[in-house]
Amino acid sequence: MSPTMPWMPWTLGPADWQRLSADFANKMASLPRALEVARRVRVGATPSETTYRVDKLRLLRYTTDVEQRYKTPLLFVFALVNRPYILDLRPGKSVVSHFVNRGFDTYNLDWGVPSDGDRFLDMEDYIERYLDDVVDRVRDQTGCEKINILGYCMGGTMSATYTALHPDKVRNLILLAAPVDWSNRENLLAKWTDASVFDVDKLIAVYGNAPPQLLQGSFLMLKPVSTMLEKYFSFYENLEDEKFLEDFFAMETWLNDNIPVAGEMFRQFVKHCMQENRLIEGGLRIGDRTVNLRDITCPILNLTAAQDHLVPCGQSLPFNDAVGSKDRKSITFPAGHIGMAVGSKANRELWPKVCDWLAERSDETT
Amino acid sequence: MRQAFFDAWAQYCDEFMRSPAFLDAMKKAMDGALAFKQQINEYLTRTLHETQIPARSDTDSIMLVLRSLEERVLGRIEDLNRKVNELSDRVQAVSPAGASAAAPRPRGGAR
Repeated sequence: MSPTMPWMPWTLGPADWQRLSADFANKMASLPRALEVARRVRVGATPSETTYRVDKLRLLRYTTDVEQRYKTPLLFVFALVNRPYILDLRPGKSVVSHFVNRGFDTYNLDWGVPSDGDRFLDMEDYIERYLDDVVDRVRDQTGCEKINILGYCMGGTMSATYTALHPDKVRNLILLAAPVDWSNRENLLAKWTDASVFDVDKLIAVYGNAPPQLLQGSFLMLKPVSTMLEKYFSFYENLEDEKFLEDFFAMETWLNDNIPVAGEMFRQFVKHCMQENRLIEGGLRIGDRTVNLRDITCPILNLTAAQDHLVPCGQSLPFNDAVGSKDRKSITFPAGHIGMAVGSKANRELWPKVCDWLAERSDETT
Repeated sequence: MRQAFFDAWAQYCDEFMRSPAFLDAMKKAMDGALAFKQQINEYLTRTLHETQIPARSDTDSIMLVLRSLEERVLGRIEDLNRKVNELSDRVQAVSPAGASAAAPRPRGGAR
């Protein structure tokens, strides 16, 4: 076992320095192998095919040899700020594979990367046009009137909004670390996006789309010690552990694969949802319709992360009281925002339970 | 020991970054950066226009026109869709036998 990085170097004796120097030499010797691992690491564990494409958006359908057991398909809806392959990062760290291996016909929605010309796409475009279009495609491709939706983070907020507008098309709704209630403004992100601090109108007027560097920088700064220091200490200490390196580089690939968010969509989401809290308090308008969460009557499973620094449980849990569903459940799991998707414990303990919950509420193939 | 140090530092950072002083500094820094970027944008737009090259503001205007056109066309298609649905319902009501021969009702709207 290699020694840990010195915390107070001035307290070390000559023998300690000798041991640390030898360890440092070993680590440096393993650097070329680490770089090789970085080069060969691939993200995405489950094979898929693109079954629909419109503008920048792609609808992925996961292909598998596992026999399909459930007729009702499942659609993953991810946030607009990162790429959706976090849900299928690597073997053993894939939410998608749990559902695919249980026999669900599984789809994933890749929103694509908006260009400067997409700056005027708004919430209506994303929810009533793109998401509705994709849901209709899934219904057409599977012959099911209603589908299951799993929305992650901002994708969960969008899925909830969509379900409220189209309850006739959604069989079951699963939210994963999805913010819906911003009345509690104690977490750091809520403080930074408060209207008195953050002028989103000006940002979008100047930049067009929300710049990925700003989003990435903000997310990193929420936990600076962990994301900019601890992580690299851990990397150094595990330089000789190939399994660790594979996971590390896969995760880094995703973390640094930031994309811009369409300007008008970002502006409306920050202003109407995060600053004015219209989704839960009422008054959120999508096109010419007002969103009323009471219109959601399908079974709800609300998954929250106990150590989530981006979306604390208090921003998600009020959803269950705001909907009109009778069958509603919430699970708070001891993990962080990303750990819910890629954490070993979540993959071992949480997702099999979620599959059970969904299986009980989906039609079996005849 | 090291973990305790990191935890203490993380807690300090969290407290600092939610303090009014930090929030105020962040707001001022952001306002300054946006004003600077705005000036750059305006300067570039002027320069490009002087040399008769379209700037981002021109493509934005075109995009707005296209969006407006798209909305009008989609709105019109939605009206037509609604009318087709109404006619289809009437055909079904008048002639139940002909209902099965009628074309399947389109799913959803254009948007």
